[in-house]
Amino acid sequence: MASTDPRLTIKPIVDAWMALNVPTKNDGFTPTTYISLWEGGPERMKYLFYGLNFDFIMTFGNPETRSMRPIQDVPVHYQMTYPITVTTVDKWLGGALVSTGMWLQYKVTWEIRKGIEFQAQSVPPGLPAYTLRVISERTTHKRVGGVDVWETVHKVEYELGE
Amino acid sequence: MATIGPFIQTYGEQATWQNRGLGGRVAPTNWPTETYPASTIYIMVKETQTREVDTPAGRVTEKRINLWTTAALSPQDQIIYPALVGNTYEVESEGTPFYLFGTVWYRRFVAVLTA
Repeated sequence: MASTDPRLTIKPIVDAWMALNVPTKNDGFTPTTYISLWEGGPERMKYLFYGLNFDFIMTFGNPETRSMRPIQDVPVHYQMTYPITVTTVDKWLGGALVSTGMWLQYKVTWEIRKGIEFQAQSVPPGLPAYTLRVISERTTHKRVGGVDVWETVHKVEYELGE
Repeated sequence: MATIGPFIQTYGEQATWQNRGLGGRVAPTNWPTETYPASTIYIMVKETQTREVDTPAGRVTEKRINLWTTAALSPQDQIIYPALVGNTYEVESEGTPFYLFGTVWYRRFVAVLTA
C-alpha cells in the first residue's frame, strides 16, 4: 500500500493530459470546459453544470482494495482500484444543443485512456514508482433532479512499484 | 390588516442564518472553501418528522422542520434556532415562494437538524 494517497499521482496525470487534449463540443472544434476534483466536494451538481457552466465533471473517488499474494495467509500486497467518474449532461445554448452528454462521454473516455496509457509507468527517478491501467469502464444513465445525467466510471488499477 | 410577511417579522422567532458561500479552490481536492457569514432573521417553525436511524457508528435522530421566513435561503445554508444558542439545522429544499405584494415574498423551507 502506498504511503501517499495514489490520487495525488492519478489526478495530476489525467489533468495534465486533458489540459492538452480537451474534448470538443458537437461542432468538432469548440473546446469543452470541465472541472476535475476529488469526489464529495461541497458544490452541487447543477451549480457546476449550470452556474459555473462546465460541460463535464471528472471526480476521483475512493478505491476498492483487495489483498494479493498471501504467504501463509498473510497478505503482502494490496491492489487498489480507483474510480474516475465522468459526469455529463446535455448543454443547450440559444435553443440549440451544443454538447450532447452521451456523445461527450465517448470523447472523454478516449482521452482518459490515452492519458493513462501515456503515463502507464512512472519514469525513474520519479517517486512513487507505479503502474497504471484502465481495467473497466461502465456508463450509466439516470434522470436526477429533472436532468438527464450520464456517468462513466473508469476503474483504474494502481500498482505500486516495489 | 396584518399580512404574513410583516407578521413573521413581528411575531416570528429570531434565528441565525449562516448563508453558505464558496471561496477559492484548494489543492489537492480542488474543492472550494466554504464560508458561513451570519445574520439574524425571523422564522416560524413547525416540526414535521423525527425518526431514528441506525448506523455502524451509533444511532442518529433525524429531525426535520418546516420553516417560514421572508429571507431567501438556499440549500445547505445553516439556521441556528433559536438564534445563537440553539440547534443547527441545514436547509434541504429550494424553498416554495409565496408572493404577497410589491416586493414582499415569504417562503417555506424544509431543514434537518445537524447538531
